[in-house]
Amino acid sequence: MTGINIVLAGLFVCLSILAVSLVSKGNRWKALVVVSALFYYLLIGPKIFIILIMAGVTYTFGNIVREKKYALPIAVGLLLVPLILFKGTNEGHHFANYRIQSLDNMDSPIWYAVFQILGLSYLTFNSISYLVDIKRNYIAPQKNFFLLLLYLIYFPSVFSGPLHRAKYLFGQFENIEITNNSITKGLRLILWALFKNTVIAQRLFALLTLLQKSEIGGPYYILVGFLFFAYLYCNFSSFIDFFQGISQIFNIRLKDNFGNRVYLSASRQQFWKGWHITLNEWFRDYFFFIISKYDKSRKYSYLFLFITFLLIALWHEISIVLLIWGCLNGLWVVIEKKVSFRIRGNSRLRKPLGVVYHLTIASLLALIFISPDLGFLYQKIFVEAAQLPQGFMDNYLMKASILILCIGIMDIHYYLAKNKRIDEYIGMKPRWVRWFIYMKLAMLILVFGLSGGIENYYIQF
Amino acid sequence: MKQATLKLLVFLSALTAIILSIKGISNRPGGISHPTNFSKQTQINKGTTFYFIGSSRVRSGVAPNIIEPHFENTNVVNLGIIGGTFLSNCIVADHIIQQEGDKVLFIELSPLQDNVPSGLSTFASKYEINLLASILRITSHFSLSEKAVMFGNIVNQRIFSTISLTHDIQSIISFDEIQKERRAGLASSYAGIDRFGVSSFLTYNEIEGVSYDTNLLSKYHQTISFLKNLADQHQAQLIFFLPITFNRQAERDIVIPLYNTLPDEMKLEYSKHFLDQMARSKYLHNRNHLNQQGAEAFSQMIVPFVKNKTDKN
Repeated sequence: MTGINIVLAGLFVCLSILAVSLVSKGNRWKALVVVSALFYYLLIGPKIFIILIMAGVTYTFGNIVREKKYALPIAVGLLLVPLILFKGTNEGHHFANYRIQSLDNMDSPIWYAVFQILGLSYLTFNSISYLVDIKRNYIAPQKNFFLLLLYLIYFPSVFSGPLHRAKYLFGQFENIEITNNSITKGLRLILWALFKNTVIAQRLFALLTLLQKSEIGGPYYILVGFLFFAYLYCNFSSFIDFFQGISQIFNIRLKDNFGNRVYLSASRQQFWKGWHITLNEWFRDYFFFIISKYDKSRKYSYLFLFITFLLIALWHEISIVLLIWGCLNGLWVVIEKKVSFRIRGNSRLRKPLGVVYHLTIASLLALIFISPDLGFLYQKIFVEAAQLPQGFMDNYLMKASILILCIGIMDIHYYLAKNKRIDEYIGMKPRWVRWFIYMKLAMLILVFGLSGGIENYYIQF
Repeated sequence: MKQATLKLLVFLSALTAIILSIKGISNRPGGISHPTNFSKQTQINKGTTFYFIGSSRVRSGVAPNIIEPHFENTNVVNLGIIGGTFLSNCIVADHIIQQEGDKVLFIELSPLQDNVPSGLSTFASKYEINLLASILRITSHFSLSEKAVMFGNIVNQRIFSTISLTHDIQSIISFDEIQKERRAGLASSYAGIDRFGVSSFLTYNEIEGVSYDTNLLSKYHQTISFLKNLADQHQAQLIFFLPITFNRQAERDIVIPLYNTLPDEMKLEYSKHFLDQMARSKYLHNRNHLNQQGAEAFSQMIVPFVKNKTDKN
């Protein structure tokens, strides 16, 4: 699996704090440019020149995109080339690759490996949104290339977002400040992220792997899909929390990418409003709305929505399985929009039944997402005997109990936080409660944490 | 900023106090959770020594007392380390090669990972190996950033295993004993049942059936070449071998092609009959490790292959 070493991350953050603290307020963003470029160089080495070229293309076209009619499509085309090459030449299946990476992290010497750049999607999407926003007169072109570069390579968000509109970050870059409050809030988020990632997500993945290797089959196999669904949420959202925390130390608030308790959505529409929010907003604002402009009568809205989901799926990986996954996702949302589902009867049951409905189908879709081919999945669910692994209760009870306890703790905090971010929710508690939460999370990490690294499945996309 | 730093220090002090108290109560030997099995190391008193270096599969699968009687004037040592990787195997080999005496090193092929198992520290402290220098020597062909990441990971891993309380809490609540009892109960209730199947065993057909871009194996080859040169200088013989069980397909996809790219004189070649005979569920402790019966069978049946290699050279 792909992990971020906490010691190295900690050292780097300390170095960044030092760099930012040593310069005057007006120059702090420059210190962040240097630190971000260094960070990116450490991650991808000489490939950083491709990033600089892309930033140069974005900067140059940003200055002419309003005046020249064809500047925007040309720029978008140029910016998409590396990403398309990256996606088109990516080998293997993402789930299998994710496991291999833990075994062998050697660079591939093949030519197209040049475009296998960490954070390429993030950079491409942000570049496109910057140019489109200029064209739409939402923002003025950035005069300073290095400020634009910072927007594109800002190190806490370069791994896997969240995506931001340029306007959202430019203002914050000019007000970088390291204060008691910003450090406290940042550290709260980091602690929370470590708990979610090293305890819950990594334990979910271990259990998932164990189950996949067992003789589990028939309808019980959906349990694997459910675990992956839960794993992906905890893994990805904790990674975002971690880097939101790092960014918060510099008083730069990154956008929220996940709604609190999104895993308990009662419909697919509700789910997509709280899942990978910034990516979905990007596809909505820079793809769906653009093609919808040509459909004045709103006759093809559902078709466009369906195509948007297909694109999101193919962005993950260009493969038949992901195409089917995208089709099913699109169809599900379209069907929900067209057919108004209403569970009659007791209103108290409506929400829990909705959650069960969503989780069941979402788990099935998660199974498709991680299956290298659908034949294998068909075999597992419909051909193999319906059985749980032998000694299920004895072998899995303790692991499942620890997970249920920790997920319960996470969910209670999210329930109490309502729509607030976790650092703000903790900040509102009395001092002794805050310290109790800190110690509780730290002890849970020390007792149940599986590694000293923070992992992210989404890095590979 | 000062206030936040102070709060952080208070928090870390309180946490340290708790960690030390729990570690004090648990009475576990500090930081050593996966000792190596080098009890026989102290008994070396004969001519040639066969060292079996590898992961927990070697540790649980190679029985020196079964192999030794088949060879005259030979000592057999099991140097299996739990969680052993290609790098840790090479570090152990690097040290052993430089020791005096005739020796043959049988090294298990494992994937290259940018960390080392905690058992290696035990090994290093027992034999006074400078781990840092050893890693630097073996990874001299790695880039600076690869080395930095590797050392970062090793430090990170060491810190985490030092402060982690998992095993201490298990020790306090006697969870280890509960688990052992449960496993014993489980084993008896499964007696005669095919629990693990044979899918984790290496098959003869797949040895030549896995394709991989050999360019991707260059780091392995460079490291093996380094060890080979060292072995030539110290009259040591290096023989690499494949594990006969695998936990993950990804591991097979790396080590089998690596094995195939090695020259014949540097690898232990299993026969189809041997692999067919070993592929039995009753030999497994779990999917990836042999039980005592499996270890006895493996150690007995591997002797002709070991003889074949050591006689030729």
